[in-house]
Amino acid sequence: MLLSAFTEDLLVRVYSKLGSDSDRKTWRLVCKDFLRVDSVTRRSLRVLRSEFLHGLLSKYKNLDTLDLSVCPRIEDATVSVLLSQAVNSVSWTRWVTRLVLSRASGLRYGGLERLVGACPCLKVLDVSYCWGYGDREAWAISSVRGLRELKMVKCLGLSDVGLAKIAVGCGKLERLSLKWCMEISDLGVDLLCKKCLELKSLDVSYLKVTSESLCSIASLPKLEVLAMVGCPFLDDYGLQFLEHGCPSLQAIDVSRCGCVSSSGLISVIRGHRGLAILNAGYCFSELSAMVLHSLKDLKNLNTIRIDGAQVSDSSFQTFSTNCKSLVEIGLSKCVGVTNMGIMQLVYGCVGLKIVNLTCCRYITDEAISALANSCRNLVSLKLEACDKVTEKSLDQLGSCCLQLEELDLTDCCGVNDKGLKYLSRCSEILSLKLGLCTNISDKGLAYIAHNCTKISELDLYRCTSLGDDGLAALSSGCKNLMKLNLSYCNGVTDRGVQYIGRLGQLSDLEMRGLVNLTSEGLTAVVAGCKKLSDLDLKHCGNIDDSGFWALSYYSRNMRQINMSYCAVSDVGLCMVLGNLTRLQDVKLVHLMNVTVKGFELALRACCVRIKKVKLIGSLRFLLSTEILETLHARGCKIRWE
Amino acid sequence: MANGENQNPNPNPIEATPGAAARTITLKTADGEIFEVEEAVAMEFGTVKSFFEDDAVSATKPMPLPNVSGSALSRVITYCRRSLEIRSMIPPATSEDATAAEAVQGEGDLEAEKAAKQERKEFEAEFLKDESNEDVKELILAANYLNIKELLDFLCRSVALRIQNKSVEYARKFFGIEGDYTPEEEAQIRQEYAWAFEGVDED
Repeated sequence: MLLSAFTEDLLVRVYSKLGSDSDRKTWRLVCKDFLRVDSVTRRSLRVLRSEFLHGLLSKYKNLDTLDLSVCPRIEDATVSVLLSQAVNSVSWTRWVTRLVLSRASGLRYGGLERLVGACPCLKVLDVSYCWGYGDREAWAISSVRGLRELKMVKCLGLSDVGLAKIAVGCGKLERLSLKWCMEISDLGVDLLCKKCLELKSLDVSYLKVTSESLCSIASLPKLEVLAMVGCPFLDDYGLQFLEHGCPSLQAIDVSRCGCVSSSGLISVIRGHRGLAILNAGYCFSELSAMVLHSLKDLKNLNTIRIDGAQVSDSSFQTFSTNCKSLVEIGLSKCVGVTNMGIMQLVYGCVGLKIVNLTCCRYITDEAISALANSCRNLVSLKLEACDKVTEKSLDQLGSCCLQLEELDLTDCCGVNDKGLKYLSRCSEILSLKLGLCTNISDKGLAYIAHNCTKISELDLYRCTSLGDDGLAALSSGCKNLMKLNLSYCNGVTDRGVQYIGRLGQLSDLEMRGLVNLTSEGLTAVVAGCKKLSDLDLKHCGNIDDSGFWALSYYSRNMRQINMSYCAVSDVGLCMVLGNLTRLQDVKLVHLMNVTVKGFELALRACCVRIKKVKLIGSLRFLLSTEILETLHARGCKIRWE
Repeated sequence: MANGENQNPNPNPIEATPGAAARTITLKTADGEIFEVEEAVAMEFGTVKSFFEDDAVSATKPMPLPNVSGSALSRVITYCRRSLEIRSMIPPATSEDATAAEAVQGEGDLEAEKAAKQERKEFEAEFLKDESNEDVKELILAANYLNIKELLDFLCRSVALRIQNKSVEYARKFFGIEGDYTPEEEAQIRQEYAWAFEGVDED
């Protein structure tokens, strides 16, 4: 009769349409055939715990991405285990093109060399923030001939020698980030630009490079994106080289370069009519009229950031006439932003989607209403410290800008419950910051909670008029909440905090200074929020051991925790540091009930996997040298308060 | 929705345009029902298209479809017909060297595209509204056999939505499958996957 069963390729099609991790988990449990569909289809893996790594990699043979950046205890020995698959069967490394090893500081050049050597198709490698990495690791990386993209942010040991090795070995490199690799100089950059002619994207932010480097960079024929944030020796003379070079340049970032001025920018603009993204925040104080006029030649300009610059109403007039295709504008901390200026801006630039007006204190409802009315496609709006903004603006936003996803109203004391009611019409909101808005109460929060159900990030820092009822509303309405900040909301008690336990997606929770919070409340949170991985309890002085027992039992996914000034004792601390195998970053300052012996024991229990610890300064002389040396040897960074 | 019978095959009979030969293709389903379908619609079926492209077969002989039932084929025809209508709402794309005048017309195209998208959304929502899980499964198998990419894609998305946030038992019942894990195996899988990794699949 008719076929009644789905073939495997049909199952693969349905599986590929599944939207969430929990659906995929359910799928795997249906039957063994479904498990195989998952194994065959899964292309990327982001492992949280090293104990399952071997088992997982033996199942997934079609991976193209492996992400070990959040997996503790990745060391050279781990690599031996990972690569010890059966010789005959195809190993997981066969098709891997992307390897993310950022922050895997325990992995040294031996392990790195074997790992990258085992992946014949490797094209993308990320070893950012492995702060101990240097020329030896660069040597290992240079053996990957097909490498297209390399991120080495903050690899502090990398010098020109290492960079040269990479330039010679990886000639096909297209994207490279050397941000914060402080040892790199003009020499290294020069050789890089001679050897890697395919480079499309280069980040040399914060390096001590001079105009010599720019002379070399200008010769890169395919360069599209150039980032030079905070380069102290970069000046207008260097930018002149760019005018006649890099014919394909589309995006440039010279923020925080103290020696760059308007004339440098004009050189760049003159030479690149196709420029789309211009980022020049905090580099000069006055935006000259000449720069603004030269913008009219940039027909593709869609993003401009001039944070910190001095502007005037005529500047905005120029934007309005010359830059009609603007999509993003950054005016954070600019001096001279007035209502008139904004109104002129939005009159011409109706396509604006991302607007940053942080600290533009003289803006009032008039400007925001004009903005809302003109720019109906607004997606992101930052108004931190714009304290003249009231519910009238929010009314306009709620009526006109229904695509709004991100709104920052930190320190806008004009925001009240009525305003939140109007704002709640923007049902697409994903991120909302209401820190220091002392005039909002549970009533206002309830409006948001009921209508903005997609919200994933909510900041209520020091919203002192909030209480438990607001949290009750949140817990029923905002099921997608992942990041929540309730620091110093003194009106919150255990009763309210218990509601937080209902937010199943919560992974990042900040609850500093909640003096009414006790172990009972904490237990309810950790029992319910299974995905909790970042927790800040600083100054929650009433949480004692029983709360931390619960934490150590439930919070298997905890990666980072701040327990400073809590009432935990030796036993509680030991349990937390010993049981939570994913914990990598802990702040343990001023734990009055923990003895020196308690610290020793606890640190010993987790020294294998912990990466960052913050302790009170006096402990430096009280802890044994043995434990301090062990921690250091394992690549752990200790900060002393 | 009347199913195709021998006397009156088409639920929506075509208006014959004078002078133009409205070619139809005859299809015969597994349960013996005959369908006469406009050529344009029938060519949406990959299987039918290749059947008539390969040989210069006379279009009068009914093409057998042994794996498709009458009810399923009727639904499939409805979908493809509507889909063709919606697609014809969008005017053909302007060429690359469009002049300024044509670029302005391009904006009108955008509006038409948006309208078409909206129509499709509404139509698709309505199409499967009253279908049982069994019917959806049957449609998928039919769409797969007939090789209709658009319909298959839509149906698979719908299935994914139907099992969204449901239990393992529900999924098993939906697909008609018995679980074959031993209790130990199942426990191991749950443990291994529970805290093991986040899926970072990009579409």
